[in-house]
Amino acid sequence: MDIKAAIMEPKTWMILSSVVVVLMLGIGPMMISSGEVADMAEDQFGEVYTNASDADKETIEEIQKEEAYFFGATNVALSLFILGFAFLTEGSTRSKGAVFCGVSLILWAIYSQGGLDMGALGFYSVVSAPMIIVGALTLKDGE
Amino acid sequence: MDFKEMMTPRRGMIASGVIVLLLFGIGPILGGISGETEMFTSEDYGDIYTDASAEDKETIDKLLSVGEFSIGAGGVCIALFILALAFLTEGTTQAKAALLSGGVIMLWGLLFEIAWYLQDFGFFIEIIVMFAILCSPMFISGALHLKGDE
Repeated sequence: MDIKAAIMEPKTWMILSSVVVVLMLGIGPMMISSGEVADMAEDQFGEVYTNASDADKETIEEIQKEEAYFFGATNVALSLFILGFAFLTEGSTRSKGAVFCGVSLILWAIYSQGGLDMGALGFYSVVSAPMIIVGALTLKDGE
Repeated sequence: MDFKEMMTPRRGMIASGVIVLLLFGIGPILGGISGETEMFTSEDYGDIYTDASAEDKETIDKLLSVGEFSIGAGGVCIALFILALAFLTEGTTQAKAALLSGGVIMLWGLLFEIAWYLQDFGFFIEIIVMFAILCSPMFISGALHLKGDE
């Protein structure tokens, strides 16, 4: 298979991006360990968590776990939509889809954190950039 | 105009997409912005919230708002994907896209349900039924047009 052709194909990047998002930001947060939940709770709640009793710490950790699960579930759903775009569309429609999926993921990175979290934004940008670039470059192909 | 003609996949996806946008997107976002959260409430924290100092209460309120805002952002993103598939596809591809969108929303709802179940909040069959009703325009229109306009 011609590697150059594969690189210039939006489908390749859409599949790659969705697999990365599913594994790292979908299944990852859904399978979060109790140690990671404790770190997350300490980051977000600070002294409220540190000074809490064991029972209260457990309550905070459970709510954190639930939020992480929601975040993971939404990432799984978004990845399936990207795969849908990759396999159901052709030509310039697929290119438009790739640009749309990339931009949507970046917007999701900004708004899901309730502000500018540079770590999350950086990760999603790296994942989305190839889709947006290749999609934009092939936008007029097949017209 | 018969039912099949009226129930095009695009119309089904627009109907479901708009409901998802309002129910899981705009609603939670407005709750998060106004600070009057409904999905995550201070009652979830029980005594921690009641006994907290004013400063700690402010921290918890802020985190509740961000949590609800995030769910709203997810809802908006998912609704946009449904609407994009509705407007970017045609024919049988659009019917397949409608079925895919319905399936993904059902999976999303099921994963939410599992999250609540794992947190010992119980298993709410009503939520699954609500998601099924929400997706029904996509499932029905997609299934009706899967073989084209035969």
